[in-house]
Amino acid sequence: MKNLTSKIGMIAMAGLVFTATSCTKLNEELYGSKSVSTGGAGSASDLNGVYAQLNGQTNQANTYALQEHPTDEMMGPTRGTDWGDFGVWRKLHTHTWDAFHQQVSDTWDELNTGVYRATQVINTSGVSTQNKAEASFLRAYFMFQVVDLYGKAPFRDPSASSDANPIVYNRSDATDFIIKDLEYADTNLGTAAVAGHASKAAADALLAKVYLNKAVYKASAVGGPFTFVADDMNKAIVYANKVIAAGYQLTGPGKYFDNFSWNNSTLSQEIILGLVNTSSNAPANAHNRWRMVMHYNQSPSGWNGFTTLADFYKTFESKDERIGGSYPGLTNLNGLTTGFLLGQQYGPGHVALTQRNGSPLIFTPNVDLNYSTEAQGIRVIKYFPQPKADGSVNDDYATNTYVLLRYSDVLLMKAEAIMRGGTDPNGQTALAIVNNIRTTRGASELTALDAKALLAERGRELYWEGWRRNDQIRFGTFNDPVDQRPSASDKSRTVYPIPQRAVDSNPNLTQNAGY
Amino acid sequence: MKLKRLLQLGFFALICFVVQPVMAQNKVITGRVTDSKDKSALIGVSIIVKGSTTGTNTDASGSFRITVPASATTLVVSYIGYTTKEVSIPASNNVNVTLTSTMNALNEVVVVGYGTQRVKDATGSVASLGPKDFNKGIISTPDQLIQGRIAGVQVTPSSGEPGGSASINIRGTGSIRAGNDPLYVIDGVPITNDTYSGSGATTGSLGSSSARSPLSFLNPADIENISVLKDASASAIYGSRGANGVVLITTRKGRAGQGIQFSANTTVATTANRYKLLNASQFVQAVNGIGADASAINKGANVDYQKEIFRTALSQSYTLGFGGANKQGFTYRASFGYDDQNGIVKKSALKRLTGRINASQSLFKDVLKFDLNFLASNVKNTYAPITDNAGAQGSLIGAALTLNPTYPVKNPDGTYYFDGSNRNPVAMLNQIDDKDNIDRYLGNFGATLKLTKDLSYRGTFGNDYSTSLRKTFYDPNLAGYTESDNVRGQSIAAITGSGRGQLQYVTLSSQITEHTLTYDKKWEDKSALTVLGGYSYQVFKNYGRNDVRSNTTTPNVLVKDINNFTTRVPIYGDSTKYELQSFYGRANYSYKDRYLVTATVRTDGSSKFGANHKYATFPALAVKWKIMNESFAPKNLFDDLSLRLNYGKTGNQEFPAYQSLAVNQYNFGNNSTTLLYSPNPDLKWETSTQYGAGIDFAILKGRLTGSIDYFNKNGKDLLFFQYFSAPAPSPGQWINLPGNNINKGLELGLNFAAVQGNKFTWDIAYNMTILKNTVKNFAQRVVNTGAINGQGLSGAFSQVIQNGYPLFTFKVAQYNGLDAKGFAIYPNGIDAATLQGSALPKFTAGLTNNFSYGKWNLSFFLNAATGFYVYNNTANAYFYRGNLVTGHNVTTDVAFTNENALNSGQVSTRWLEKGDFLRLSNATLGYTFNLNNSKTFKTLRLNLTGQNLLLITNYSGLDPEINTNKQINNVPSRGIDYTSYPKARTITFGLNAGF
Repeated sequence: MKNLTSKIGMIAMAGLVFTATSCTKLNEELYGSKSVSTGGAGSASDLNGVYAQLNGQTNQANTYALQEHPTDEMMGPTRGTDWGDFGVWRKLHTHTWDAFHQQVSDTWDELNTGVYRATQVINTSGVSTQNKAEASFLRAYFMFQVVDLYGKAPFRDPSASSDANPIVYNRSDATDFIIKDLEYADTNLGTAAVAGHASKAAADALLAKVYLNKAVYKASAVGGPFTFVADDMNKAIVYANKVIAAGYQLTGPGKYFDNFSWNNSTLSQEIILGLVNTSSNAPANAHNRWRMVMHYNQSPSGWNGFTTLADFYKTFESKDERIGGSYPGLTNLNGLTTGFLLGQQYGPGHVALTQRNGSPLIFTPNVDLNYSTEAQGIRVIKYFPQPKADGSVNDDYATNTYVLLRYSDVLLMKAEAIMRGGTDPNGQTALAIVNNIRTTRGASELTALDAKALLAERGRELYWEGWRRNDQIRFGTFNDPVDQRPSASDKSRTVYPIPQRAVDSNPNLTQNAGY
Repeated sequence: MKLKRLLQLGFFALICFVVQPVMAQNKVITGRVTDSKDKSALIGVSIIVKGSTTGTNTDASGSFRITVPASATTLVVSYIGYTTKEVSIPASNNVNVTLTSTMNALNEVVVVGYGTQRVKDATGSVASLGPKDFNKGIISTPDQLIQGRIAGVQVTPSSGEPGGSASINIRGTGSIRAGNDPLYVIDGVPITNDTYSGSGATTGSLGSSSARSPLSFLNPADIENISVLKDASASAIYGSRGANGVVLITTRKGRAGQGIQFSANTTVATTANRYKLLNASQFVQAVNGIGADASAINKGANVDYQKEIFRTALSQSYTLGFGGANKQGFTYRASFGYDDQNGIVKKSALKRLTGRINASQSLFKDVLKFDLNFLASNVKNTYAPITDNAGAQGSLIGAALTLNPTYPVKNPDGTYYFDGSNRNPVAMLNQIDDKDNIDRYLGNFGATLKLTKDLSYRGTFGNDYSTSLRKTFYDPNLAGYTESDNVRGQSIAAITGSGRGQLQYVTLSSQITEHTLTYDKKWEDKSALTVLGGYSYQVFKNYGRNDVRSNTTTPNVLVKDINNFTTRVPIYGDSTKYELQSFYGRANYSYKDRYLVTATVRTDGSSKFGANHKYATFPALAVKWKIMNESFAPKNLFDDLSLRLNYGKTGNQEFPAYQSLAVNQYNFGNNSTTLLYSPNPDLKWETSTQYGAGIDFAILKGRLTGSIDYFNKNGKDLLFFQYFSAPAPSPGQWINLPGNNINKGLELGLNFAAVQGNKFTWDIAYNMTILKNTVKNFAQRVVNTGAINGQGLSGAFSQVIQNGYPLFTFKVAQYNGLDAKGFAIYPNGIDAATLQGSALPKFTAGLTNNFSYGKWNLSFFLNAATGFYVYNNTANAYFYRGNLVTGHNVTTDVAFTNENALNSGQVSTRWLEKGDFLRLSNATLGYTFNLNNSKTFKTLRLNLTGQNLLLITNYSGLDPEINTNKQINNVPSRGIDYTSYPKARTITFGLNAGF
């Protein structure tokens, strides 16, 4: 009997199991920290997402590397087992990159993602004017970098269907697009600058930059010749003057490195747009800027990478404070000096440092791109960390604000615009502007100013701040030979190739000439 | 009909009754039936007097006793899976019979999807292996059982780690994204290959540990049969999941008289091979030789750091099973397994406890039958800190290989020695605690109802549930982990100084319900028709969450408690759910046992597919011509001959769920949301179209049997994560890539009974595969993969997928030795990479030899692969002379060359090597006791097994059969060797007893 009931029970159970199923609609549901997007929300969190995309600018690779390594002020030599990195640095310095270059590809994605996220905020219905204006500035900043590096800019309308390919603006159209965004930002942003956020002055500074470079971007042939039009130069001067009127000031004599110090956010009056870091949250960590040059045995320990070129170092007068030296609160505790590091290096307690093989750590000027020793090459320290009282450094969360737009750049742009045929309503001359900067920095006054001298001055003032490639192209020296690139490169190198993976995925994109 | 039967019965009864007095003229025959190979007793063997219906079956000890007429001269001894034998009755009336297994022959029954088939009737290409053919020794995952044993099935372990994963490629590599694994079906339940345990790394700088095998929860001793559905005609019944082939695993069932089986194994494992590194004095000499200041880096000790991390490991495994059947139609088998496997890298271990119950109940004279399979398993892994993608700092193995041998392990005060930058491998072993605990339950319950004589219904319900917790704790004193990390936009302090604790929870579950109807009809002329129709619904749910914390409250000790860490990232995690709904059907028709046709179709609907492609249909057709059953068959030459042709389409849907939707992810750090990827409503399965032909034959009176198969597999709509044409809302989206991935090949399988003596037998099994892979119609697209890691190798990669070349073709700079100054000569330039060979073997083969002599038997198994390249990333990262300058150890062969200290480690053919190898991978010596007189034992067998005993290769690394996961952007790599867990050489002593 017991057997029979259990049998009946089993049959009943089986019946239940097999009838309890029915056809399904195969819908997907989401849980956890993921959610199905309902389109751009235009909320503050999305604007934060656009700002977050700027943090990539502090990386030693990508945008920064593309703007610096091919120039006459930076190179990344291979040092035995170190820094071979599949030739990425060598290829940048020797202008032999191709459409598969890792950083050419990654930079494209990083910048264009910024453009897109900004567009999502701008196009959101009901977005506040302030948010829309900030997003417009950010879109202009990212697209400016895209146009400067790649010579064309793809654009995807967020409301377009996902299978629509982005349209592509040529360099000229993209430049106009950027100017329109910046004009909107300039009109609608508040005058009060909030640290880390776009301000009127930031829009003005970038507008000056775009107008100064407009001849490059509108040139019929890539790499020039360029025709600088007086109208554009006057515009650049107008916008530079707006920045000047906003009350920024050159950091006083002897204080050049305050602009990059661990507390530059309070010491410097030159920061128009910077990425803010605190001791507990450093999303745009400036520590890459010293780690990428400092030797392993320096304090803090670095990656022993990039150097400047001996010829670039030679352009400084010895009394020019921008060449660097002791910095109070840094050198006395930690041994590290600012500016150009040459010769024996010291650590905390003024201990002479050694290389990993035990020999003294003496940085020397000459560099071999393929085969350098640990100590070859002059290192450059612009940003530096705050040491503790015992000289040691914890640079996990470096507090330096990372500078994207600086006041002295605006002054030099104004000087250049005047030199290139613009007129300052305030009557300043290019030479006077340059000499004002030079005397503030402890350098002797120039008696005359030509293009070569102005480019050199821009180098001395703005070295390693990510503008050298842009400057060299505008001044026509980008393709000239340098120490480790003995022959001139082709003008096609003044723009990077469109990454192959972008060409693969967007039929509207054509590869740049020469690649 | 029935009346006739009754009459017959009555007639016999009458005869019996009448003949009763004549019984004295009968005789009683006794005897025993055993397996010809392992001499084990065969239970339930049918013994019939030839030409009569008189018969009996053997009992649990294989013995029988039968009363036969005095006139009887011959007995017919038959048993499923064995060759039927006729024996003459000797004068002694005692007869011992040995039967030969037909496991590899054509009479075998193979498990195919939703049913079984005789190999003779199989129209598709199906390979089937039983315990006799499995690899022996220490087996942590079932895929190791069949490694090398089946033509067309390539099992490449990613490392030697216990429970580690392997790439299993059935007829070539099907896809160019991760997830090339076949579909595993265990007792009818398709299981998910999704990751079931935390990856160990929640932050980038730690590197990720290598993947786990999806099968490590199974006890290999429970497996009765593994069938591999190789071609599309066989695997099409699994539709959108069949493209990578299907592996059907059947567990042992109860049988009458099965009794108790017990096995115990003890294994000793050692590293098969180690790197020849410099010792302290050689190191000092070499450092001096390169012009560096040895006194500055000589710390006086002499430590062999390989010795510090490797060990001779002892492992044990025990299995107890018992089974049986009663006359009421109940059969059962229960088994328990315990494995305690210790890896050859200190700390690493796998402990597995499994319990299984398989039972069935037949009711109403087999009209209704219930069956149940249930497995509960607990696996505990302990991990050594070995990762696939460690950078310059290296993971455990890298740290041990490069550390200056003059460094002491510890300081005089007992703390670990640390030079300020290079990690101490002994500290890594002891100051990181990384363990997981995985519980898995897999059960299925089925009912079969015979509706009519020919039609039956079967319903099954399966449930697979797995839950795991991986706990990883880092000691704050662990030096050299100075990188702060980032979890979902929130930074987290570096491990050194603050310690770290992380918990990773992963829960997987899936339920499947299936209903099938089977119509089975046989005609007198041997024609037969089987039609199967079914519906299946399977739902998968995955949950994962992570709890990562830093800043320990006890800065001096490692406390393995998450609450000891004060700073936490908010607990984060994600869940996914996807559903699969399918309709399928199959018809097998055999005309006069000469022409066989199988037609299969499956329609799959998957929630993963885009809105525009919810359902997919996969058809297949196969025919077989049994030439031997024709009147004109060449019977003097062949004992069996048949020809097979097949064609079919299968799919692959192994891409993450939700890819057809737009999905946002929230980031804590900056309070933002970002779109993870872009939706693709057109996203669909990858399609593989396969056609093939095969010949099955038997010659020399059936002593030599074999199969030859040709296949051509054409993959299209390849699933691929497309990096977007920026500006884009996200990095990219999954697409179906235009292009074809073509695998063509030839398989040969041979079984030869070389010697069939009374006492001595020798059987040979051989399989080989010739495989050619080509990527076609790929336009200008070039996909890079095969990341190369190490100091000075950021961003380096070594492989491309490109039109006209095989998958995983290496593309690296040409290296032509060193010049007079000791600098590398790159004839095409240091930064000019050129196409080289592929990592896919062109030829693989396996050879098994089984000898038996009396109670002894010896078996050894060799496998080989040729025509492929391996990239020695370990040497590229660590073993060239410049490493001495930075105070790192190197191998003896590079230490004293003229190589310039400033020569860099550019990725080049210097480290690309041919991987051809021949391995003695398995050898077993066994002795079976004669237990005719034993009351307790039914069987007793001892064996000694060696694994990976001998390796012949020119490859300079440890082992060319290696596949460290070096994927880039989800595109898998092959044939790269980077400081992975080394392969062990093992000796196992085992005992098997039956009661």
